[in-house]
Amino acid sequence: MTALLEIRDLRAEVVEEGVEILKGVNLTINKGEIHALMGPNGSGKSTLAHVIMGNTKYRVTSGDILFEGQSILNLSTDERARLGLFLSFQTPEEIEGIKMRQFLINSYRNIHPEDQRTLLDLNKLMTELTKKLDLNQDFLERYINTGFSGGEKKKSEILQMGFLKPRLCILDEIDSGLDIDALRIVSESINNFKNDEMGILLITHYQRILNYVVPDYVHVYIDGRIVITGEKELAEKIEKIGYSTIEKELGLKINEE
Amino acid sequence: MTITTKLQYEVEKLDTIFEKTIDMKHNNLKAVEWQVPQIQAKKDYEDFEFQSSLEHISNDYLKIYKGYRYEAYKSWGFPKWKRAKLDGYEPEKYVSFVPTSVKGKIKGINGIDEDGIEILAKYDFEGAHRKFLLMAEAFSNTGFYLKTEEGESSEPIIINYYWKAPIYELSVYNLRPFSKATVIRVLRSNNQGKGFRTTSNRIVVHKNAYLELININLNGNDDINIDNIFIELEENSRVEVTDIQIRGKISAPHIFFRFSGKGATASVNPYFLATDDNIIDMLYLMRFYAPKTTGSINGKGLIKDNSKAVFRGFLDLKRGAKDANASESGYTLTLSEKAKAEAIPSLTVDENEVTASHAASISTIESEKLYYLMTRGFSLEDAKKLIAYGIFEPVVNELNKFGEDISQEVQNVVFQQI
Repeated sequence: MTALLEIRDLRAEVVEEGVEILKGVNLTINKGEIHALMGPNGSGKSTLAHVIMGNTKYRVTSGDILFEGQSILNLSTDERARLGLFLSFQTPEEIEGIKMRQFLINSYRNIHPEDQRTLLDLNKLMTELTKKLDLNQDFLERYINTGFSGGEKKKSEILQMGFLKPRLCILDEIDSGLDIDALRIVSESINNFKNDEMGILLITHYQRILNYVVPDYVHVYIDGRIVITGEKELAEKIEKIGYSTIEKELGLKINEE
Repeated sequence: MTITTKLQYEVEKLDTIFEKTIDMKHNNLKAVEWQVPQIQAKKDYEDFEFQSSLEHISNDYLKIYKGYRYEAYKSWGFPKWKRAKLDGYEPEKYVSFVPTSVKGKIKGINGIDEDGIEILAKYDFEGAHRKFLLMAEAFSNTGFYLKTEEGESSEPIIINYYWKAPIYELSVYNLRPFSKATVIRVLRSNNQGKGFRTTSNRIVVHKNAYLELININLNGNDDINIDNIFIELEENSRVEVTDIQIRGKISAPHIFFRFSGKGATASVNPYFLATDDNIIDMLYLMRFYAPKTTGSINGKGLIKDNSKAVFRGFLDLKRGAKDANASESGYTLTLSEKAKAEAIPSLTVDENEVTASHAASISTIESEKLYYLMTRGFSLEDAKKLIAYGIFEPVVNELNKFGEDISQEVQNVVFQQI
């Protein structure tokens, strides 16, 4: 069976500075799997997410990213999105002048051009999702993420995940800045939206969210690569002993900035 | 008393208030002012054009007023505007009447009454340039007189201008106390040849009255559009102006707010879009005389190609404008490296107890915002368009309340041009 996402010995640098930031990443995600990517601050977890999405701030120097067996390195960000890749941002952008409703509908049409669903259906679905996520009624009439609280922004990202029905979801620190109630709602939604055809890469600092969204695999990411892979228990271990002990165990030099 | 002497008497008695654009006086000190160079037209309008302009006017007061303005007109040359790249002007062939279509309760300028004439006689201003202001008044070939009754609240008035010939507008709005009016002025280019419009609008908003004024200027690339508006705000009156300036070879709105009554409030929200070689040269001036007055200028716009936008927001707080609150902001988004934006904010304060602020920014679309939209399947071009259009979204949305036609039209024009 072809993997949904396969990253092969991926190396990348920051275009402006020419500094290597991904130093040989290997990762395979199959349909239906949840992978947690954990690591200390500044280890470059978000960078990996952006390189997968094709952010032009980074340049791939070697290795490959395959989506269902096809290299996507030559595809632009929007082309990757249309294949079914989705990234929920750690800090979602605020964009004035574009209402959430219009944005969601246009995004849906971008990603599912063949879909026959009517505007009415899509609007109905949107309304249901806002209710599920306990978002304000006026949410859809507001400009993209503008004036949203931290929690609302994260919910907005998850609503997009549920609405756009992507095939690979990269959730970048979806749990940061959420209080316990919001974390529960967001986690429940992720579990709800997930299906057997979808793969999830969940990037997080903390084990907390993994109590709700149970991963099949846990990867520890330090200094631009995955240094250890295990199952759910690995996350619990990290929570207990911290990243620095792991680094010591593995004989890694901690790069203190 | 003959009509002439009556008008003269009124003019003298009234002691015309003449508002200069730049008024730099402090105690007995006066700043040296820059004089705009003037160029005489090779073939300026003369008696023939003036007489044709009178053909459609039966109102004697108005005839006399126009006569005065014509005399003054002769002594001026057309301006040399450095920023707007105007080297004088040669008037186009004169047509004494241009068609307009009007919805709502408003008269033609010929229907002006003594109150209206008093407004004409009492208030005077420079406009974008004196010559263009006088030109609109002396050679007016269209114009309106709006007079509300005390306490009246009428349906929105929509004026459509058709650019079949040069447009010279002379209008007066007289909003009686406690009345409310909405006026929407829509100018559409015919995109065939050089359109020219210059206007003179005097507006008096009496005590506790409210005016909503929406100017929609859909200019073509070869059109010159100069819109001169003077607004007098009496006690507790309120004025909201939306000024949409789309394209134009030269588009020069000049809107003057005179806060003479305590507690008066006004805002002006300009939206501009310049493409190709367009020049949009805007001036919004608020002069505060009375205490507890509030005024704000909030401009937003988009420039692309080789175009240029000059945004002048002047706040002038005179002695006596105690506890006045004045603010200004300007935001220009540039879509091309060749497009030029100039923000010229000015704040002069001659009164200690006021609150005043101004901010201006010019920026390009942030790459992070484009990237965010691209992760949602929007192409780079579509993402740019969407963000650029976002500047106009609030005003398109606002126009919806006057019917979908107008808001859709503005939306389409903006979308086509970005």
